Amino acid sequence: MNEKSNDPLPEELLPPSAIGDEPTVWENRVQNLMSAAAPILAEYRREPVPWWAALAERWQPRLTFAVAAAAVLTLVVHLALPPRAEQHDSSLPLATVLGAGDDAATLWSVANNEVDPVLALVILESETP
Amino acid sequence: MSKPEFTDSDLAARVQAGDNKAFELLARKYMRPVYAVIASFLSGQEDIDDSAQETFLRALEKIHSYNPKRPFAPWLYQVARNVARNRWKYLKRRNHEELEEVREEAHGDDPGKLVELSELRSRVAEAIEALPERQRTAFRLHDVEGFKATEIAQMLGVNDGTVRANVHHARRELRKRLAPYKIDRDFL
Repeated sequence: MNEKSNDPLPEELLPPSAIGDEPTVWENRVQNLMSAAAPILAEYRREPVPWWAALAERWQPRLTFAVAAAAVLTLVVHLALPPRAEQHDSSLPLATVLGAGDDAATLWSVANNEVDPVLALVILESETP
Repeated sequence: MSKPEFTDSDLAARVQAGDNKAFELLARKYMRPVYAVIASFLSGQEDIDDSAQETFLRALEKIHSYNPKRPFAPWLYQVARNVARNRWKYLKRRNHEELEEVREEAHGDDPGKLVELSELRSRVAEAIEALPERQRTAFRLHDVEGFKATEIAQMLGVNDGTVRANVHHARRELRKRLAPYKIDRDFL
C-alpha cells in the first residue's frame, strides 16, 4: 500500500462489480421486473370510464348520504305531525244505516261522504232551516 | 428509413399511459446503472436484486408525479438512492449487534501481521462500508463499477468536481485504514 494516495487501489483488492453479470442474468432480471410491473401497467391502460359512470362513482357516497338524510327527515316529519282524524271503531258504517232507510244517510251518501252517519245527521239538522 | 428515436421523457410519458414496451425500454436502459447505484449502498446480492426491482416498481407507481419536461435519469436515480438508503438503514438496525461483534473481532487483530489476499479483500470491503455515504457511493461507482465522473454526477445529483473530490478522499481514507496491513505479494 505504498502507492500515491490518489491512485486507484489494486483491482485485486476491490469488491466485484455489481454490473458485470452475464447478459442472460440481466435478461432474467428484466423479465422478472416486467412480470411484477404488469398489474400496475394494466391499471394504467384501463379504459377511461364514461362521464356518467365517473360522475356516479364520484358522487355515490354523497348521493347515498342524501337519500338516507331524506328518509330520516321524512320519518321525523311524519312523527311530528298530529295524527289524522279517523273513523272510530264503534261508528256505524254508512252502508248499514242506508240499509235501514235513514234519510240523512241517504242524503249524505249522495254527497259520497263515507263518514259517521250520526255526525252527518247532526250536520244536516244544523244546516236545515 | 430510420427507426424513430424516443427520448426518456417520451417513454416515461408513454409509461404513464400504461405502455409495456416503453417501460421495458427504460428498464433495459437503466437496469445496470440502477444496480450500480444500489450496490454502492448495499453488499448482499439478494438485497441489491430486491432493491433494484423495488426501485423500478416504485418509479412506476409514482410515474404520474414525474414531469416529462424534466430529465428522467436523475429522477430515477433519486428513487434508487432512497430505496437503497432505506434498505441500508433497515439492515443496519437489524444487524446492529452482529456488526458490533465483527468490529470487536477486527480490533483484536494484529494489524502488522501478514494477511492473505482474501482476508485483505474483506478488510477493504469493511473499510469501504465504513466510508461516509457520498465518498462510498462515488468510490464504488468510479473505481469498482467504472463509471465516468460525469455519469456519476448525474446519478448522484451533484457536479463532476464533487464526485472527483469524493473519490479522492475515499481512496486516501482507504489507504490510511489499510496501511497497517502487509500484503503477501505472492497472492497477487
